[in-house]
Amino acid sequence: MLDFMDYIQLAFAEATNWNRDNSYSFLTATAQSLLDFSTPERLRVHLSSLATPHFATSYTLGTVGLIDGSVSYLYSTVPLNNTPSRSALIPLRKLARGYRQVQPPVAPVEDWGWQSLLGGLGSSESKPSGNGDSQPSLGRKATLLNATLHLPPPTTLNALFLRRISPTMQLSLAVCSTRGAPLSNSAPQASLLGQLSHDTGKYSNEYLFSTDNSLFGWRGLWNFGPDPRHPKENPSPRLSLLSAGAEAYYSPVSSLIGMSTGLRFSTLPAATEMPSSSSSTSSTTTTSNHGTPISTFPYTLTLVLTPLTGSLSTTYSLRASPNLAFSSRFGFNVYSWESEMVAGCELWRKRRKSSPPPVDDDGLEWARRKMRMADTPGVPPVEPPSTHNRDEENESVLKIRVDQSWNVRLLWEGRVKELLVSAGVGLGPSSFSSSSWAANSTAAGGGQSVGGGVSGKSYWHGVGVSVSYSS
Amino acid sequence: MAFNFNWSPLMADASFYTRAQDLLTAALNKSPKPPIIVDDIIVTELNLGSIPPELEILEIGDLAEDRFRGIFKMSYSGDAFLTLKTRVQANPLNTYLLTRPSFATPRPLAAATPLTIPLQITLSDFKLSGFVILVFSKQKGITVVFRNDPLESLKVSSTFDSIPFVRDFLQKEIEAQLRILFMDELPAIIHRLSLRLWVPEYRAGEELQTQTESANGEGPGQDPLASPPQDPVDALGNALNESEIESLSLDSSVETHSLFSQKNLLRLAALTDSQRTLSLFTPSIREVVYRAWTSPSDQTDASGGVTSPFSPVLSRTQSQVGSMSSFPDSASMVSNQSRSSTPSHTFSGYGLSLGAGRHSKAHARKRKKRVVDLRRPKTTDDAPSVSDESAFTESTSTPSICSAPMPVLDEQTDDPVTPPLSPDRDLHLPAIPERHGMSISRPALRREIASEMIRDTAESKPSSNPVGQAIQDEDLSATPRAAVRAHGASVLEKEKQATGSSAGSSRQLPSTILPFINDSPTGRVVDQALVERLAGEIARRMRDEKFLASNACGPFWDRHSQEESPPPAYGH
Repeated sequence: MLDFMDYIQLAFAEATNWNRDNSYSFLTATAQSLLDFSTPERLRVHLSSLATPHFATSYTLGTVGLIDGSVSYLYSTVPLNNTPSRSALIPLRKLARGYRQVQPPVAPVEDWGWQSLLGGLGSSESKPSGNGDSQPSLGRKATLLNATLHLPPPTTLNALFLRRISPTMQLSLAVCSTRGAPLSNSAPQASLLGQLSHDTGKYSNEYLFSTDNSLFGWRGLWNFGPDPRHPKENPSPRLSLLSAGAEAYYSPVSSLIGMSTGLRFSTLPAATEMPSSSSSTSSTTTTSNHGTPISTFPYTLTLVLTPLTGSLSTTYSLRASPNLAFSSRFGFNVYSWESEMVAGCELWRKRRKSSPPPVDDDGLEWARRKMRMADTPGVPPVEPPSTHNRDEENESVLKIRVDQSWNVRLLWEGRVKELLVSAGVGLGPSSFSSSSWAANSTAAGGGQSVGGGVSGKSYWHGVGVSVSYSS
Repeated sequence: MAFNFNWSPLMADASFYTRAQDLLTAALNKSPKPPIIVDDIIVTELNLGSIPPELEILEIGDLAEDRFRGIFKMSYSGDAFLTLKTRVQANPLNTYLLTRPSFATPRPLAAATPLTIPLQITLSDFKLSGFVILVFSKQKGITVVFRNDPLESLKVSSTFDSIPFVRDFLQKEIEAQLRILFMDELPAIIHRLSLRLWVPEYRAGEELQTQTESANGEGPGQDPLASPPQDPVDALGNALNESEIESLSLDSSVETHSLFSQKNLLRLAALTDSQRTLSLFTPSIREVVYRAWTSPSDQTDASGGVTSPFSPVLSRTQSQVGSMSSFPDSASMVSNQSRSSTPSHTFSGYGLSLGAGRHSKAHARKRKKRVVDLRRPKTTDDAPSVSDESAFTESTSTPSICSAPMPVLDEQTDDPVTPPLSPDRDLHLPAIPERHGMSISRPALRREIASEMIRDTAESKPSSNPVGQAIQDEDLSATPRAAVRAHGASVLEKEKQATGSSAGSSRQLPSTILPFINDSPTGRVVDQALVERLAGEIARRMRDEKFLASNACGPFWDRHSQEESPPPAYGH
């Protein structure tokens, strides 16, 4: 489940029309969210609030061995007015990322009034500064500031600076500073990561630089097919998308080298919408030249190669129904002949809440009806839209993943009353598992070591509950 | 003066290498490994080579038959080699990311995919030079501490020799790791190995530990030896090492003793008590066999005619026993009190039934003269230098005196002191009458002495188990000490008179002990304990010498020693 601050950053990206998914980093996002999700450790409580459209705070309290916590603040120059912040209203699908439907590449709107929109929003928001709103965009580019202070004695400060330089560029600076002893001698106590992202829809590039060992990095993604920036006259909806990307890292100081390449084939929403639309009664709207659907369900295939270490990994993810998605991954290393096989699925459940009777049902409905009938028969009874939302909100998701050594991870995420609850358990023969992505292995490994550190042979790795409330 | 360092016998022992490999493996895996190493480091091959290190003596702080302390300048460029096996992470980006908080790192999609490669490293061409502090004592084993970083260079050859980058990296990492090893781990390893080699009790203790781990469910009072050893052995073997090393340079005995639990102390006390009673049920009989094996070295010492025939092992163990036995002694004395109201009790009393401590004292009195002469210079040397290893060894052995005189004191003057009886005592009390009968029935003093000796050895055997180190001398000895001080003069006078009949030379004993008693009030509690130990050591040695060469019991002892020579423990 996404952190509240991550959720706000996501909302910021949406508000500034930045497509985060169009990056090589998210090439295997679907498989990762289905296979490499991390379960919470012990008990963790989050209290968050979007106090104003510009300002958000979040407090975390956790019991991992000892009590720890974090304080986080976020400031955004873009008002996040349309972002539901109450934990009862945040759509769970945004928090619990499951199967990620790849959207067709969209060209960034160069002159869409992105800046003027911000200015307009700013003018509508702030009356006193309305005079300068004619050219506010020059001085005020969308900026996000976020700082998190992890409090237990190895105090760690994480700070993030995010700025939209231009419609196609975004700059992010991340600082991590810790008071504790570094994990290795070569690790500095503070490091800064700068990342410049350039996304044109057709392709995207990211340039990274980290002060730690002066690591340079580059990530690129190329979407095959017509260029969205030069749309044809009569664009036919695309059915699938083939993307290729690569990344490379190099540090001249410590001779760090790393690279990988990846390929992704994914169906686009149009491919699966058509059969449904054709099967439905409104077949007239279907264009005849795309009558043959390539699939009845969305799926994604990826292939990632890491030439230096000789590993390759393929994933296959599909969404069998809107509420059920499967994913599997097979990894193999040419040099060490290690292999990895992971399978996982997610299941969304909509709790069929007995739709409550109209709120104003006080036994006098019949009288009003009679009165309406008598007065004006034209007014239809208004269906309150909230009931539909209620159904959506009461969704819950269950994720399971199993790998070849029978490490099982189970995660349930849902809503209890006003709280967002995420409960997970990790089971498995506690063995040395080296097969996991670095980021995820650190997260999951931490949880395992904490939960299952007591006994070496226990089948339990860790169990935890994370409760979050936001307003 | 010449030293003979024998390098090859170490190599000859086949089991030595396996043990050393195990210890090295454990040591290498104890310290946090660099993140690039993703598996345990296993020592597959170890060879110390045939070229011994060159040692240049810089300073000798202490020298005796059973202990040594000195500073060397060591230089080694031999043909030893070491082969390790482990698995390493071959993707540098993976280790880079593992050691960083993930927030400010570029989270690569797949570039950090791990690749673990089995690795075999051979370390050879060691070039060491440094200052070594070597402390050797038969009871504490060998302790080697490096004053500086001894590693000058070494050659690392691995499976990655063809890749210069990896080779250099490994060389760097391994050198760093080896420096830690030399400074921290190697002293511990050597210490443990030496304990295995020279202190049979250590081995016995380990075996006993393994044996008795299953049988530990019994109550505390039943079999004192059955249960206690676990923790102390561990403490001695693993946990204690560093503190022991420190303690060697400082005055450590008290600190180490404080590490042991009161429960174990009580158990050992009960054990010694049972030993004294000669009750047959004592669990330590097996132990006795072990102890007997310890003594060959002692015997050799004794035959050499050295002033300190008592092996440090025994003396040390006895010291523990002594300090702990202060309570049990009082217990045994309870029985004595009833019986030994008469002045004649001195002979019959201690000779018959009281603890070895008393006997030792009595014998010591007889033999004082010679020993005192030998001992005094030593005590003067040792007493001021608390930090000396020699002081430590002596101090360990000394506490016996506090146990030894105390029974006498309590018996005669401080009966009310004895009442606090430990529960363990009750268990052994029934044995006391029986012991009475046995001892009283014995007509001859020599017989008595013989039996005492046996008892002593028996007593020392169980206690000599390094497990039994648990001593809290201060607590236990504090009260007896006060008693000694308070009644010191009179009691000693009494003792003199009482023992005077047995040996004419006994008069001198008080003179030897009194100085300590007088000194002790000035010092702190630790000093008191130390002084007590010293005094005890003196008494013990005196007694030993008497055993060896006393004219009074001459024929018997000669015969006895000859007879006993096969199990050498009784030889002295």
